Amino acid sequence: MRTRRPLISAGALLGMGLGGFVDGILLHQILQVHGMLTARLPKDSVAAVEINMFWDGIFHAFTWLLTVLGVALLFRAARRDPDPSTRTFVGALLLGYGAFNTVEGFVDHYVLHLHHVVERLGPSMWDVVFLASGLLMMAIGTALVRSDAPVRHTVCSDASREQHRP
Amino acid sequence: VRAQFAFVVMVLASHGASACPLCHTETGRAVRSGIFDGRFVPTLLEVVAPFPILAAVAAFLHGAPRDRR
Repeated sequence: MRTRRPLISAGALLGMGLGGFVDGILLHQILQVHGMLTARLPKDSVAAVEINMFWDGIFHAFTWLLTVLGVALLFRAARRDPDPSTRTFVGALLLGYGAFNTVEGFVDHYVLHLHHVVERLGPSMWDVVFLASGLLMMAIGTALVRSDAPVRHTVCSDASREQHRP
Repeated sequence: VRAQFAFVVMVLASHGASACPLCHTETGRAVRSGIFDGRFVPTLLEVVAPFPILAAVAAFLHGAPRDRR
């Protein structure tokens, strides 16, 4: 019987990282509806824009670390299980993406009040939509992972894989 | 005409704002002082606050029971 744990945690970490990049690239940079600290420091001067950009960068750096950790775990999972389940992986990706939106939305938008999704509106329905999208993706991801039919497999060790290698 | 003249003068007189955390300009100094003020560490902790929670979620998933197929 093989474990799905490495694949699930790898997919979840990659989902979190990619979710963070979607937030940073789409909402911070392309649409510019908010910056990291815009609830406290509105982008009304060049200095304020630059300061927000600095904290955006710190946020992106940690998002990058999550992504790198996810890639490392995915590599490890692929070594253990050469035939990983697409359904489990996609489910884990969605679970991670949803976890990012849920945690970031709750902590940054509601607890710390660092920014809101559409800053010019302040606390708005968009914050609720962001949080709800996270919960929805977590639910879909969990359902996908759980619905992956259990199948018995033998453990594929490195030694046996070497034997089967052409 | 006067407004147009004023606009042209403003455009020609203005120069690009050189602003970055390392720039030796007035704006650059304002950026540095805005980042590395007395609240640098608390702000850093707030900005990265979601990440330990996300890492804990991933760790939980890694160790979750009933994960075999």
